[in-house]
Amino acid sequence: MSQVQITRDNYEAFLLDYCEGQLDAASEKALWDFFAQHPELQPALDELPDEESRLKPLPSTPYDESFLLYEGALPPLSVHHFENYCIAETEGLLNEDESSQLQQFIAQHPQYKKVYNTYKACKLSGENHQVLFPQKESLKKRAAIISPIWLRSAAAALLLAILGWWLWPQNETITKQPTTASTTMPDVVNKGETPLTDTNQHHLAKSAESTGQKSDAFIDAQLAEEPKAQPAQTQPGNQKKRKQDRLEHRKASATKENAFAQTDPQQDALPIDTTQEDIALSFPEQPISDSSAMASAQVQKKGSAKTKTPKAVYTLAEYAQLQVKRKVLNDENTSDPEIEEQDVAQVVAKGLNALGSERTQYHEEEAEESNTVTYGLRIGQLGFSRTIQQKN
Amino acid sequence: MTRAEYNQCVDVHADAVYRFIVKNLRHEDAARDVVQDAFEKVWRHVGDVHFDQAKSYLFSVAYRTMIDHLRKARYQEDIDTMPLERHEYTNDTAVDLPEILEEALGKLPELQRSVIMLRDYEGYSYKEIGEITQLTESQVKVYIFRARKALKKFIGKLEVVI
Repeated sequence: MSQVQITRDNYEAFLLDYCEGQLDAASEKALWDFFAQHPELQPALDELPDEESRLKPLPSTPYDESFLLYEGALPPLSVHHFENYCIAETEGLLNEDESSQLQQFIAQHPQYKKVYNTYKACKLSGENHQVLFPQKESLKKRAAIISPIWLRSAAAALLLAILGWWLWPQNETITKQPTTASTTMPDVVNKGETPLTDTNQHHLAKSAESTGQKSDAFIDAQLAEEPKAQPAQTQPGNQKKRKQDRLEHRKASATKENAFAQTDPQQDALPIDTTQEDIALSFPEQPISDSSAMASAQVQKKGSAKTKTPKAVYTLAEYAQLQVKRKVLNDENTSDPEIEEQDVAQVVAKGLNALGSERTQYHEEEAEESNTVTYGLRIGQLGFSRTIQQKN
Repeated sequence: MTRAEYNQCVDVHADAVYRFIVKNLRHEDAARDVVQDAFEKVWRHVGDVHFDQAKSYLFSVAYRTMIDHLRKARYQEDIDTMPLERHEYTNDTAVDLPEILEEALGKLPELQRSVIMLRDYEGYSYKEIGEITQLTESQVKVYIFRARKALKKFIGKLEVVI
């Protein structure tokens, strides 16, 4: 460098070499002489970084974590690896031989004992820092415990339910008759007549299953036969008169019932439970005076083991009972028991017909040849009928 | 793990987890939240965790929960950028080694602080610490060595303290 002439073209290169400490003494003297001869280049000297900012060669920085790269035996103990040995001792990584080597090294170089003690003291100890979690109980999980308040409430509700069931009228009692599809309703027509037989029940259930095929055939099950035996006290003359009265009274009853159906809108508004499908009904013998049995209704859904009392049927029956009483009390011809019975049957059926709207149909048919009158009633898909031999 | 074992886990490990978290976060309310969350997560998987592995699982969950908390709270920026100062204690200063170590611990980067606490406070092996912090054993070892050197550097004139 000293042999190179410094000119205006290459002085910057010399200046950079100076900043990096690459110029020898002769070249540096030549550089300063050049700037002395060219004072117009003084700004370039002003832009030079100060002494502190100039780059300096990096000190040698050995990779002290190479200690951790050893597998198996550690590198020989030396001043360079002393601190790593101290850490390894603190970590419990040294075997007995290595620990004794470390202690011998410290004994030979007492100035390193302080460093060794420092590392030993840097090991954290939990005993000196007892930290307790303040909400430990909130972390625990406990089994669900029923509150005594809720328990008492539940017990009270259960007691009320039991009392309600106990005090409820027996005609509302749900019965379990899984094999019998029957609904008991008041029917004074059956009073004193043949009770419902197994054969009748069979026809009844069968008719309930085949109602789709017999939509127009109203008579599905004949529930009972009119007893042929006549009361001994009955006189032939009275029988003829009774027949005429019965026919007249039937016509009058039909007129009254139609009128009633129009004059009692509140009762008309009673809801019909349209969910009650396939309900088989029968009219067993129940006296009209038995009010509890009068309103009793047992209904079983076809194909289901559950039995229950639909409110709609119960309401109809109750309503019919009421109307029967009205009819009986207000009718002038109630002195004749048979007329009374048949009229009551009509009222019941027509009352059901009026309240049940399209789901309830009443039908009566008189056969001149056989001298019988057939009363029929259909509620929903169930139909039943009764044929009564007219008395001569 | 049954309900009783879970409750036993609370009795035995809640304090340790809380210490681990509170010394990392240096914020008691945040630490309590993290511990609560960690135990809730353990309870949700209580059927899948064996009682013998409950502590390790709990610390893993707590550590991850803490990291999530740190990321959300952005606490870590202030902590990690804080220079590790060299304290000079004189004979006139009443100093206590645990206090100095506590202060030094707070100056460590979060990862170094976590691994050295798991090592010293809980006595975990490198492998276990690696499972908790999701590091390799070598990484755990390196972080522990660095942490010990940093603590030694922080303590400075230890002869005054000791």
